Amino acid sequence: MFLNSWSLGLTLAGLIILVLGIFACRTAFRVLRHWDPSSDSNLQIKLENEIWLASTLVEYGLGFQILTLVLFVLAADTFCQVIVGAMCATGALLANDFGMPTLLVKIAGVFLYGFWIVLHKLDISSETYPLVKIKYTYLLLILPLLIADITLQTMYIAYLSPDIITSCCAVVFGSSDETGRNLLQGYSQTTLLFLYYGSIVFLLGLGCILLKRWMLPFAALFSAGWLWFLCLATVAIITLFSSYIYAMPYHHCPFCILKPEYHYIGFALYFTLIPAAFFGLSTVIVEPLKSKKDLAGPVQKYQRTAIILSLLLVLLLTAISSYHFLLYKITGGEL
Amino acid sequence: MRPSHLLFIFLLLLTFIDATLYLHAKRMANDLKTDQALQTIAVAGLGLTDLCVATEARYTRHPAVSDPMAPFMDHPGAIEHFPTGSFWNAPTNTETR
Amino acid sequence: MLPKGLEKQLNILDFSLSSLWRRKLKNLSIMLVFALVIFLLGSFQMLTGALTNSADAVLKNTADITIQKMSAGRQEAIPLAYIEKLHSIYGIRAIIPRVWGYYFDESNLANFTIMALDSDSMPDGNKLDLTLAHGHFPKKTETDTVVIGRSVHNILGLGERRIFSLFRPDLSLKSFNMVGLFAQQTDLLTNDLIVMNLSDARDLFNIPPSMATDLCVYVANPSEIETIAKKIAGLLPDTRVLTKKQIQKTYQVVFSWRSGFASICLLTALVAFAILAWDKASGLSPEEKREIGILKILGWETGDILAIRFWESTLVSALAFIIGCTAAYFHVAFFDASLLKPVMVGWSVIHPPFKLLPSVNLADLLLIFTFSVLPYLGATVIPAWRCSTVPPDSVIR
Repeated sequence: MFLNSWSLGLTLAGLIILVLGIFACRTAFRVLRHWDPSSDSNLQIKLENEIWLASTLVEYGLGFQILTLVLFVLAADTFCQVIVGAMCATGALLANDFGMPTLLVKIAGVFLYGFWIVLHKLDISSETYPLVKIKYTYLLLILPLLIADITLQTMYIAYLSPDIITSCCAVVFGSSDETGRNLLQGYSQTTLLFLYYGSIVFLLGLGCILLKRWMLPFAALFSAGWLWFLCLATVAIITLFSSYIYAMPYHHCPFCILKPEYHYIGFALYFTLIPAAFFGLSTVIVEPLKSKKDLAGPVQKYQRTAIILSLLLVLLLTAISSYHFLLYKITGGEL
Repeated sequence: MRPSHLLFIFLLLLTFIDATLYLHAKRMANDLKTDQALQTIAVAGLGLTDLCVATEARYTRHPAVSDPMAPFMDHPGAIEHFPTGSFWNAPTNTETR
Repeated sequence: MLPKGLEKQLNILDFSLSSLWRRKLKNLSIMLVFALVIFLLGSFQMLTGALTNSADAVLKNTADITIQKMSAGRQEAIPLAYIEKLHSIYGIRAIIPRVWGYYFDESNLANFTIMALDSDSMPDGNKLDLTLAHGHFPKKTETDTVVIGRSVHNILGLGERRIFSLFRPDLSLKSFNMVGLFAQQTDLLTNDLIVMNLSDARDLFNIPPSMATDLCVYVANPSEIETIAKKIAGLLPDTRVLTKKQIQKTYQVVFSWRSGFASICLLTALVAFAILAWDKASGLSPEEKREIGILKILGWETGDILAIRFWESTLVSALAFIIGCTAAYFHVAFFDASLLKPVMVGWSVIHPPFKLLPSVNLADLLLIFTFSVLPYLGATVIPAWRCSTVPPDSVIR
């Protein structure tokens, strides 16, 4: 199904990202081969200029990647109108084997590019560029992911045909026992609620302790906690909060909340959850960089900012996700 | 005055225009609702199947009830020659021939 | 006071604005061309979206099942005897024969749609008079009376007259008395319609009384539509059976392909534009080189110059995007999409007055953004870097 404005848009964006990525990797390759901070040859000066190019390209790539992630979900939401049986993005994504992997790869891509930019910012905070080699090796490792991303996406679009019968979100995320095709089941609502808010309180407490006194085990726990919370929050949004947003007890779907009927609340949810998780995770990931020459200061500064940001975002997330839930509990369901 | 202030004023102006258009859209949607109530009556009462957009060829006047072959059936080897035909896709009624 | 980082960005923004302004002719023309491309893309998206939305809203009451007889690959008249065959299927509420077809008016080269059915037996048939500007629907006993759409009224030039005549296939004239005119509000559906009694339509088209054009089937339980359609297809193998769902889906498919076709055309325009942008950004004039060299001597870093270039291309594309989309809205909402209408209606003599609500939603805007701003930013980033790395000494030499 290529002859569709959404497929064309996605492919175009994918190609642009790929071109940017390839240019960045060309620089990475040259830097890895010829980088020599002690030299002042023409080549070294040229390479120092090219570092700027690579970082700009990856920054653009990250921006575009976030855009394509949104675009992909919205495209799936539009495709469902022509696919038999699909009623929202879930059905369109499950219409063939490539839909869900593409989505996951795209989300992973956002995280990985983000980490690269963090590395880059730390790197240029020092005069000597201590992270150059790590940074560019990492960049070369991202390229396969980028290629996988666009390949999967193209396969998804190519194999998407309007005749395929797929299932809608009521079947996939629903809770009826007969269907047997349930993705998320067996979580009792109260346990989940308790876990969700418990984790938030735990993360907030841990973050405050870390801000007062830096302790490595706690930091590791903090980041691990974020990884756990990312999965938990996704499950909670799907099985718990979504049905309060829809005001329908049997409608659990992670994509329908992105629709204008629900005032795009899904975007607010995911755009607080994902950056929060990103900053939370990155606190401990940058820890090993402290050992590098004159990076301890910037790393520490970054960690503080990251913790503060993640805590603020999680507070925001709590407010947004609880809004409909509390509204339901207080007003008794009627809006 | 700083150039960026001028830009902000210009952006403000654009925002104002777009906000007005948004209000216009809201009002128009309301108007259309009454129109659409009438239109649904016409659809139900006359069993209409299509919008009256292009009237030049029967397969673009009534795409819902004409088959994919309709543009080419005037004589053997006929080519489809109506301008709208290059823009209107045939519906995929594959299940029913 | 503003935080330091923001203040710096604001200064850079100031600088890039004034540098854009210094070459205003070039930059403004690029922005206008860009806005024009976005305007075309946006108009297409909004227009097709609007048509799809109205089809969605309006066609939900169409007949549950429509049966057409097929013969030698063509649709032809269906015998009324087929109705008897269907009585064995349980769950059918009503079967209503319709006679409809096209009447080509040779003097005006217009194509009218003639529709005839027993409206009393249709759902909402008693409310049909509400859709008229004046008059009433022909009763069964009133022969030679019609209700016509507004464009038919205009093209036939009826004015105050009520009598007009149409040709039978054997070129004999049959005269009609107009007893009602469709209201303007239903133009989107009834613009080219002439509604009459079954017997008159049979007389006009010379169709024997035992035949009809197609059959509308109404089903008691909507969830059984598919099953009953299958049964009908089994009982009457020489027919094509269309369900409500298929009819409603038509407009999704028709326009989604259409906008795809349009995007391919516009994509070519965009690629050309991206090349232009690349060319503009990469062809560094000696003046620009000097400027960058001087900035570098003054202590600007490569990153700062990149930030200027980033602001420049973002400003140009974002402003073009906003202006283009706003203009597209005006075009579709207030000017009836008059630039795209010829493409939509082709050689039609009857021009539908599009009173459409342009469909603007986040998804469409994002799509237009992807088609326009993304390639532009992508095309300007490498030239921007290239010009930001001009060695400062090259200017002094």
